[in-house]
Amino acid sequence: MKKNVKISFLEYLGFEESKELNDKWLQTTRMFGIKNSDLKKAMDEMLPKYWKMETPGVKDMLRAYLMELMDLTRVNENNPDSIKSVYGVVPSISTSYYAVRNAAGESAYVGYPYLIISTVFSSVLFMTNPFIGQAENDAGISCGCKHCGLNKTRIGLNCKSVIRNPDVVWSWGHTCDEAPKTDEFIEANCNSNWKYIVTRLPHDTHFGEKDDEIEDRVEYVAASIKDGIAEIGKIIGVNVKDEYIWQAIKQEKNFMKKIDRLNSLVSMVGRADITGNEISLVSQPIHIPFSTGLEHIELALDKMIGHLESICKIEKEGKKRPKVGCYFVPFSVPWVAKMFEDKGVDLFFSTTLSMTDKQMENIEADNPYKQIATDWLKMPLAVNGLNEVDMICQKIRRYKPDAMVFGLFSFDRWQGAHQKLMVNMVEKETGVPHFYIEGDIWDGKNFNSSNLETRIDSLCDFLKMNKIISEIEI
Amino acid sequence: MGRSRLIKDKWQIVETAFTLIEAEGLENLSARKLAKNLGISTMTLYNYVPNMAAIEKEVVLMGFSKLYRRILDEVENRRGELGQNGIRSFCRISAWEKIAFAENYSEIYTLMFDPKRSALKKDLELMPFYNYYNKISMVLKADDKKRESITKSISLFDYIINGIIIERSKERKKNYTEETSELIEYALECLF
Repeated sequence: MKKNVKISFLEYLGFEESKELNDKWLQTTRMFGIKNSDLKKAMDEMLPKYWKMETPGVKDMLRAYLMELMDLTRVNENNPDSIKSVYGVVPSISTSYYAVRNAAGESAYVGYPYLIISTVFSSVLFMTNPFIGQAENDAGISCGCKHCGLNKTRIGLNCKSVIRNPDVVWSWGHTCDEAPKTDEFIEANCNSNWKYIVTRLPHDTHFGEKDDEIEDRVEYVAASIKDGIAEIGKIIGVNVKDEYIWQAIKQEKNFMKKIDRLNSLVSMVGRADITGNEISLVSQPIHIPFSTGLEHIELALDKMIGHLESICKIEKEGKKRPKVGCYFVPFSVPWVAKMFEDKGVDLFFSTTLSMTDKQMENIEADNPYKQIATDWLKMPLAVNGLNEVDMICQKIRRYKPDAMVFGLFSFDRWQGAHQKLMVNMVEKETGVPHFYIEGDIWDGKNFNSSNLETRIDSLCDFLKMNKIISEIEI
Repeated sequence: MGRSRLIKDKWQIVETAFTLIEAEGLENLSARKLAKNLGISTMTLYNYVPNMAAIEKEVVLMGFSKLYRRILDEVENRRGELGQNGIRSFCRISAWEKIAFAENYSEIYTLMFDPKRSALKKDLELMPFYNYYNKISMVLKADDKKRESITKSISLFDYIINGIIIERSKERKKNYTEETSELIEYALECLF
């Protein structure tokens, strides 16, 4: 008998067969309108083209994301009283969510549905995210306006009632302040019972300050996080004790150290079969909590590390392919990394998903809220421009890329400009050639391969020329 | 009026603009003419690109891509010559490839290096192309002082080559004479 495509897809990703899983997956495909033809195309063409499916850890990683998507059925099928839901939005410090998750156990879904949906559509199924279009058609969010695709996805999902509205959304603001604005829009205009909490940074950091070293700021952020956790606990009926927060902090530190190990190993090997797409997708839980927990993605990460360690042991000193670090997250546009790769250049670490030494320091604070606040204020997404420049320089010195690529953030006028201002500063400080590419990592309509091909061609030519020049005897 | 023909992608617009500019000069390029050549309406054209300045930028980018690919190919072919006094040989190869490019694409070259278009030089995507020699000198294996000195010499040499090309294009001279060759060799000798 011919096998059902939906089940074959699970098998292809290495899931162990179970009726419960199959049912969950069928329900997920119905929820999101995923057709057999979409899955067949992903299996036969797109996944083998853009992911190194045979590399240890890669299938495990894709499975972790699919499990996360499937976990949303738990929210939809259950009575709102039996499963509570807390949705998060980037950027944020995921420790806070993990603390709530640890405390709530199975009684709550605590995750990042919008980013997971967006990621699975773009990077696993290679489908156009339909919810962006729905936000444009049903809620009047104009196509050309500078608006993050993720927030459009949130509006689109709400318009179509695809997933159950959360008991509470936890937003964090940031320079763009787009997430809280989106919450306000949904609450005020979409006739939704939309409860949200905003934990904003003080918005008073000065250029060059070390945000985490200013006691007042740390105290303020710690108090805001404490309020946020208490409020969320009240809404979902859970007491988030300190022990759950410490547990989340330890998990996160451990995960960060592993990501650093992964990046260091990739920087050492001559030809890595784990590059920008794999590294960024497996690193994403630094910023977003997984409702299914860290263990599945951590298993993928451990396998990748083990694989690279075994390559390092047998690899002799030899020619290294040029490696390029980036600011954006390659998994959102997997074909970009592939385009580089086909031209003999590998993308690797992303500055937004890699760590400085300071971020990996051991726990120092005497209370967990202060520790989360300090960790949040050490993250590149939460600090002022010059502080971030300094962080990026540290990462460049640590992983030694041949060049850096910035850009693909033109979806947001603030985030886009922020990056543009940093490019020349980092190049001057590190002496590593930097390049900038216009584009939108969330919305393919604003951006496609033909626009990019000449740019990537030229950049790869630059690197080839650099190689020749570096070998000239002076 | 029939329906406007759809074009494949934005790149088709850029390639057509590139050909039109080279054939008729930038001053003769208009949205209407470009749209007509693509078989689309002006309105459809603006669905793909925000304005004519964006097209100019893409054409310049395509020009740089062709120019530096050409230099890279030649440098790779003649890698053996880079052994002794490699920087001087590299600059010589670059200069002649630049001259050859300017002979093939004189209008595009003028657009790329037109001093009136200073905004292009400040564009973050184009900046690496305008600072090409600075960027590639970053990897030279030399101490900071020496690297700085070589970078300045390479940049100065590039100014000289650009000056020669622009001057000759103004005079509408096609063939480069022995005098040009002598000037290039003299500049190389003085700078490296």
